[in-house]
Amino acid sequence: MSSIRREKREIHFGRGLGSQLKHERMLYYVHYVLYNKRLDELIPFKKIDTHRPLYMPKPQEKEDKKHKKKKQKKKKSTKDTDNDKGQSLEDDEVDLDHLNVQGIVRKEDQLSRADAIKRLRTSGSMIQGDVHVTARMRNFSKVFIGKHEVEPWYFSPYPVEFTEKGILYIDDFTLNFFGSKKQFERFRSKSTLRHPPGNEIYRDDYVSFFEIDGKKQTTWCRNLCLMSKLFLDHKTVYYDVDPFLFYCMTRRDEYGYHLVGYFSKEKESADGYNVACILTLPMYQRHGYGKLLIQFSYELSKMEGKVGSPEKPLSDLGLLSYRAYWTETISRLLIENHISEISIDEISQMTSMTTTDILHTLQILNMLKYYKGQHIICLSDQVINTYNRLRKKKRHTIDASKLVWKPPVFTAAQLRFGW
Amino acid sequence: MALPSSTGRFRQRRISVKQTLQVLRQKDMPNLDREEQQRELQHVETGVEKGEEEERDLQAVMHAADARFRSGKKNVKDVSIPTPDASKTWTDESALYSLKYQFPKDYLKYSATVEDTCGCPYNMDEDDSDFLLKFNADLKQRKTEACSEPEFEIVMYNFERIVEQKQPFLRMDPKQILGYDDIKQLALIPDENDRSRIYQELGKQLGIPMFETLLDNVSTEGSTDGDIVPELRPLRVLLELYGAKIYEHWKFRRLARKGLPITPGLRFEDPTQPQKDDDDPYVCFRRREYRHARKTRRADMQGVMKLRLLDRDFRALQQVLQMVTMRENKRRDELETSWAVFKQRCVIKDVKRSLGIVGEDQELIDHRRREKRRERERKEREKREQMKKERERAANDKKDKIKREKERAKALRQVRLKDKKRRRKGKDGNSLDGSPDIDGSSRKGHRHALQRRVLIDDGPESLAAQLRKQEALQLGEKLAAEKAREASLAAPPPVQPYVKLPSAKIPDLAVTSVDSVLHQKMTGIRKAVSDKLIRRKLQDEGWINYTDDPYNPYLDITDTIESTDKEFPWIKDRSHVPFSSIASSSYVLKNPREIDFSYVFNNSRHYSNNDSEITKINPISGQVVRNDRHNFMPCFYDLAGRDADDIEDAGAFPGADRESFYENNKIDVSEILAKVRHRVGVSGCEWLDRKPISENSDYAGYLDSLLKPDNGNKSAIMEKSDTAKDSTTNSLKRKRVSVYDSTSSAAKRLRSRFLFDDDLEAADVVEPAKLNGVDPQTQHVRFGCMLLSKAYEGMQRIRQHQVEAYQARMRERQKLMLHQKKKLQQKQTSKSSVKKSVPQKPRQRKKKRQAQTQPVSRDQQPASKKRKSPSAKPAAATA
Repeated sequence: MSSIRREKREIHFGRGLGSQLKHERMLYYVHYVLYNKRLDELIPFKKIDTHRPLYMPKPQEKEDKKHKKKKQKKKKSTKDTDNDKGQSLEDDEVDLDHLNVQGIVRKEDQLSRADAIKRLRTSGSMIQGDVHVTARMRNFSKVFIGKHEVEPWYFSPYPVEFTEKGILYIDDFTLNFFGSKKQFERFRSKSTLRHPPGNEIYRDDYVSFFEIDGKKQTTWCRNLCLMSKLFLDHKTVYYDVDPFLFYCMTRRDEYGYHLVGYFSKEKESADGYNVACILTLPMYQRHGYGKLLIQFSYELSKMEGKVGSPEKPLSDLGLLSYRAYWTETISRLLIENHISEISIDEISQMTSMTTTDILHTLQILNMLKYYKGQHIICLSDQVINTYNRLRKKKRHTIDASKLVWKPPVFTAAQLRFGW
Repeated sequence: MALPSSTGRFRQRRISVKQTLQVLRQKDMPNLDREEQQRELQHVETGVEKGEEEERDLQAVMHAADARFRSGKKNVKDVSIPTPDASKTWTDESALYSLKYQFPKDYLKYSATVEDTCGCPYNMDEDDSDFLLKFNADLKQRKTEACSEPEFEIVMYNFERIVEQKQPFLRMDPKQILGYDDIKQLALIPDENDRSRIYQELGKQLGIPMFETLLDNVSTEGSTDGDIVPELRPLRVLLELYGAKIYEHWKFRRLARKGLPITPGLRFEDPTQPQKDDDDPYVCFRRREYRHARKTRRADMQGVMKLRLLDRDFRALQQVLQMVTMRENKRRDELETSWAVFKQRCVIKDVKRSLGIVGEDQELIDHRRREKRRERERKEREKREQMKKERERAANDKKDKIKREKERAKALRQVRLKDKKRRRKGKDGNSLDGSPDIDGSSRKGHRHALQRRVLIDDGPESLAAQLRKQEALQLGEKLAAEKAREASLAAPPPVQPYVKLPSAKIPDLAVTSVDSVLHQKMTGIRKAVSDKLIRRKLQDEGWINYTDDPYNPYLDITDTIESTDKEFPWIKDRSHVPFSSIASSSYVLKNPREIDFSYVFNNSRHYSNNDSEITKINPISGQVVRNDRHNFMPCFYDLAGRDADDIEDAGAFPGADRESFYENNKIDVSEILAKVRHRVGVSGCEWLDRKPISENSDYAGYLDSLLKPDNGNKSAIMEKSDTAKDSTTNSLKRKRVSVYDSTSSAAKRLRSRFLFDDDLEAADVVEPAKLNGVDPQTQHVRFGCMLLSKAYEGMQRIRQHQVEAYQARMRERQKLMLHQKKKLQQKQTSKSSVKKSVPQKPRQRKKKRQAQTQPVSRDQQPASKKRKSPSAKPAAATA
């Protein structure tokens, strides 16, 4: 480990992942420890501070020992608590100190890659744990999506041949990809598709939503997955797209429906997820589209009469978006309706959020308090202020009455994955 | 952890999601203990991967949120996670998105795929462009027409397509790439997957000159430049003109790619490689392999069936669609002609006006239109009438129903009244009688009897009548409904003005009355009782039941035999009379009339003859007889044919008389002799065959000794039935010998017991199945299977023989034919006739075969066939 100067910050260099010759200069691909992979970059040698001492990566054993200790501690503590209460949890009871997010892999029981893939065969679209070295490095430097020029964040398995140039052209209607500009131009002159190739299920004056079946629109959905892999670290394209439905948010201009963001959803989720992958394209980020996508996913769950939660692991940005949405939904529910008494279950039924997600949010907002021997929900001034500030912004929301959609039903044979 | 806080309270760490929580605002509650809040500050799981949770940017944002909501700090800075730049736009490429899009008013519905909308799948790149520029410059010098970019792409695409089809593994050995002539030939074979070709063919079939879909014409319609897109020349022409040159270019590029397609595509799992390349991150979108269901013939057949059905459906659909298009074509033609006629009429009108011709306007009026209007009016009138009728019918139905209900209720009331009266009567009768035997049980029986009486006796009078009435009514209703349905079917269904079910479809609510319920119950009970009786009777089959015969307490065997002729003349064969076999068995039942069974049954209440409440059914005539309580032995039971007075004494049986009674009533039975069979021989002779019961030689000898006066042990002529009767009467007259007293008979019995006991043991052989330790049922099944397979084999063998015989015959015939031909030819040549090899008619051939019956080497044939038999076998099996 060596230090690298970067914008006045001293950052540890975890490992030089690779090197490239560019313009006869050696460039090193570096990952900054404790920063997200999307900030990895190619740097010249002179940026590396060779005067500082080199740290070798911590040996694995130490960590293991620590874990063991922790485990032991944990075991003890759980024993203690067990003795303390002397009774197990009821069906509808939740342990507030051990609110576990379902689907997240603990460090202690790290999944092997083979196991992870085995799991992916039947459910899920995310992979956790270590990845192949080449897949840890971004393989494109520039991507043209429609009229936008975007820096990709992560690795995506577009044809290896294109990575030489590192430039990718993506048509923003068909999502077809090209390494050559001429090809892209030729393609544009021929292609007539102006929208995601599925049925429009929602339309207001701001956005439209399309529902696309991965089995029916294989090419388009594969293209979409490859593109979104550029911006989603944990997404996997190991398996094909047929068990997923894709809900695509588009904005209209005079040329057609332009893809803004999307979320995929398993046709049948064993874990009760209502979203598999969710992405707002980087050029549309920080405009509130993410919240619209999330809201739409919950509107679908409401139509289905189910509660749902996004598939884990969440990305950092995903977590923040979801937390923002949960916060806003719960505070709107409680403040606007002047509710004086409510149970977590009722909130869950009204919002289609899972009780775990609700309890998490309440804890983060410090709303769940113990008062006079009872749990209460406390609407603190900060929560009310934040909500009022949000309301003043008048962000666009989804109008459920404009959703023309029936939950699609699939037969067992249709859900059987294969050709 | 639930530690006691400083205030001494326990913080509940568990929470029920069903529990109602109060929602309070901060201002409404006191500031809670600081310490407690601190303790609540715990690590909350995020759902982000553990490794990423500690990332600084995320931590910063989360800390900011914590600071705001938990610690209540104000003016917390908004922090966000930095992301790479995405704000740039690519201005010079906006030209590529120039086509305006017409938005549909409704929500868009779309099912075409990306491939459908992209035109030619090959996109030329910079290299191709360079080549094409040079190529076109060359062409210009030679003054030939230039090749446009789309045309170039078409040619390139076809080269790529052919190679992908014919040489999918070209990368293994790129040198084997197809030559130009081969590729040209293959390219000119129309591609089955080409859409435009399908459209063309469809257009030809349906008689539509240009077959276009919505997807086809978008590009030409919306082009802003207003350029006329030049028509693309067909592939044949292009190949003729530029093929060879472009091929060279294409081959060069393809070889440069080492046999892979020129435009690189995604890497998928290679099905040819046995090992999965799990590690290669560039391999994506693998198929999810799932466990294949076991391949069985059945599954295969099902698959085939499904495919067949699909095929059939598609064909039907195609036919329907074709017919629809034909119809629409016709309609279009019709519209065109009528439009032409209209125009002509306009011309005529003008001409008429200009020339001032009045009248003869008939031709100017569209007659068809008027007819149509008339038709429409007529239909409406009909509809109105239909509606009227419907309404009337509905009203009538309603009235009828109400009437019927009333009648039913009335009938029910009457029945109930009658019942009540009857019950009262019955009670009166009992009390008047004052008979001593009315105790609890009998009273119970009485009630039963009452019910039964209702069911059986009085039924025919009132209830049955009721039932009949009801049935008739129901039948009538059904008939009416059916008629209505028929009527509705016959007449074209009128269009209903309201959303209303036609009267035939109005569900006929089955109004169950008490009568029908009672009727059902009664029939049910009747059936149950009779079933039970029959079952009981069946148990007794082959036995004389002296104790609890379900129909009769007991039966006189001889009586039935003797009385059949007089009482039941319809019984033709006497063996059909119940228990005739016993009566005519080798046991000679003597003086049956003297047995007084009444003694046996007298004490039992169940069979007490003077119980008035028991009804009996005569097993032969099916007559239901009720005991008359005043008669000691009612006619039905009076088996002895005596008067009641005679038996009155015997009924009491004082103790002293008992022995004498026994004496009198002893049954004189002879020992068992043999099995006897009755048959009718030649010239109406009746024969009685005797057969020893066992094969024991001792017994045979014994029989011989017994049957010496007869003509032998096998058969003996017996007298006809008249004489048989005489013998019984004789036996009655003979002095009765007590079987149990006589020493000779005792000896006989001893002997027979010895014989039979011996015999019995010999018969008690362990079943072969048991010996093998196999369940007898399994054994049966096995045996059955064996028999079946044997039979099947036998059948096969016979068939095979037949086939072989047939083949042999054919072969012989052929040989004969050849033989004859040769002979003929020899004759012809010898005679040097002009005719040569006259084709023989089959008839002639047959005749000749019949004439020549000589078998040619018949013995050799089967031997050769035996060798061939294995091949012949499956043929036979399939046949």
